[in-house]
Amino acid sequence: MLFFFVALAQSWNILGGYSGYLSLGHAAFVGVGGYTVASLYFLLGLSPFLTFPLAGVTAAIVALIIGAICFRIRGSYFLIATMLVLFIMQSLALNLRPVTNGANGIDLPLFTENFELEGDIWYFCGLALAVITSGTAYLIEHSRFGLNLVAIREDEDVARAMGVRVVHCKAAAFVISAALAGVSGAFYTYRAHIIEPFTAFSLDLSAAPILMAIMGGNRKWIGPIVGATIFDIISSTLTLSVGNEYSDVFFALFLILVVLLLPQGLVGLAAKWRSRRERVRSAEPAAEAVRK
Amino acid sequence: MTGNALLDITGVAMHFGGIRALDGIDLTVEEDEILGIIGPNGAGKTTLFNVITGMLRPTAGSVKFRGRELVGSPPDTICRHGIARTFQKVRPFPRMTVLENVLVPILNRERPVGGIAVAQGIAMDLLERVGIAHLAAAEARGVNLFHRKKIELARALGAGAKLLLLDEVMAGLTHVESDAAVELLRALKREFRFTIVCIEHVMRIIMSLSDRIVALDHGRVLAAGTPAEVAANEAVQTAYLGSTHA
Repeated sequence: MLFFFVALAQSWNILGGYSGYLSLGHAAFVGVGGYTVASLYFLLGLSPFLTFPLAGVTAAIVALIIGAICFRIRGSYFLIATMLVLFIMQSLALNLRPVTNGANGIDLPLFTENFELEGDIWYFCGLALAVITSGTAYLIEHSRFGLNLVAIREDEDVARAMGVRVVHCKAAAFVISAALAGVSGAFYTYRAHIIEPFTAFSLDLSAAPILMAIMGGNRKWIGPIVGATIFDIISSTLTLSVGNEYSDVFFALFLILVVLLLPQGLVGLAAKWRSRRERVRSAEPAAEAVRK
Repeated sequence: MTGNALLDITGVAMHFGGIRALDGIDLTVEEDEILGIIGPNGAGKTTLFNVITGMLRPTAGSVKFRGRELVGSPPDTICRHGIARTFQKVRPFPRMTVLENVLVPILNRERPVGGIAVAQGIAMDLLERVGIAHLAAAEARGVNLFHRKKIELARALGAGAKLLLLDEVMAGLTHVESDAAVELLRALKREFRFTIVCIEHVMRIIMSLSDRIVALDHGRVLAAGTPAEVAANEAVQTAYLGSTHA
């Protein structure tokens, strides 16, 4: 699950962290990706393994359409609009029965009968997914595109006045974010061997990457990795110790603490420590010189 | 006469509901000059900048830059044509470093400069020229006002602009700082060869800096001419100091 979390957080962060457009509808693309592979299996019997890339493509196309509408608005309105998109997708999945099998969902086959091999395959697929998404985030962060996204987050109007092609940049970020979420969704679905509208298009699945990215620090590519790891550890410990019902409460408390005390996330905290140590170190020789 | 004007503004009007922020402005800016714009608060000075840079679409009129119509183009395109601005309320990207602030326009020029490393070199040169190279790695939000204004200036230069619109870059600076800024501006102008349109409230500065001055009031051009002519203009004095008959 950790790899899936990393991919989820990383893909959300490409839009939400860098460009500052917080989407609460990220699960829409996870679901679209999941349903792409599931429906192709359901209708045509195609192996989900072969249709993985297609999941990214459909999610990207959906993102282009949604982006054309949602990017007309900013801030909290964008947040709400993306959340509504999620619910629209959910009801589509419920009602387009010939394609999605409605509320019954679609069962997917095991990849092999060999459990050990099956586990290994998922392990390496997940690892590849986490590496690809993190690598994409790293490349974006160190490119002109990434700088433009950050400029948009800081001040969209000024960025525009400085020649940043704001519309193109936002669309590209949304499409990349969605495509990665779509592939992650396909992975998630195939691993779970089942997809149905309420878990695929759930608000929980939309909120999770936001929590992870913010906990870890949403300004750096390493942040979502740290955040996803902590999220995974905390959620499994809490589920085991206090049960599912109360774990959400503790989780929420923890998140509030992080947001209040560490607005830059844990990675931001680490960076602060490092720069303080460096300052002390560079101050020492100077102090020495003064003493002499 | 207007054939070789760099910027040619004709009949520009900007109405917000019943308010006429700009009410038929005709104005030309010649290549290589420094044009000062003065006028009391609410005269429409900043609104005019917003129209030129495409942040506002005028109700009527045309803005031509080197013969090309700008009205209807988005701000990013206009910036790429070679018009850059600073903001009256300084607006550096707060949580980016000073260097990154200047990198943004450099990397988004119409003609690519060839990679991030090259752009960083250009940005460092610019920071050095305006005198804030030592702040390159600092976050822009932690920098003082004088230096933040310099970030804005370096950013406008970074766009490679041929026309610089400076919105009150001197406001809030001390005597010494603003004198230094005027010198800097003149030196940069010689080096990079650009035209300046500047809005300024500090009379001492604008009178000495500008080749020509345009006075606005209530969205109209009240007077235009050399600094001395405009200063002597009765309508301008009335607009600033109130009518003697009042």
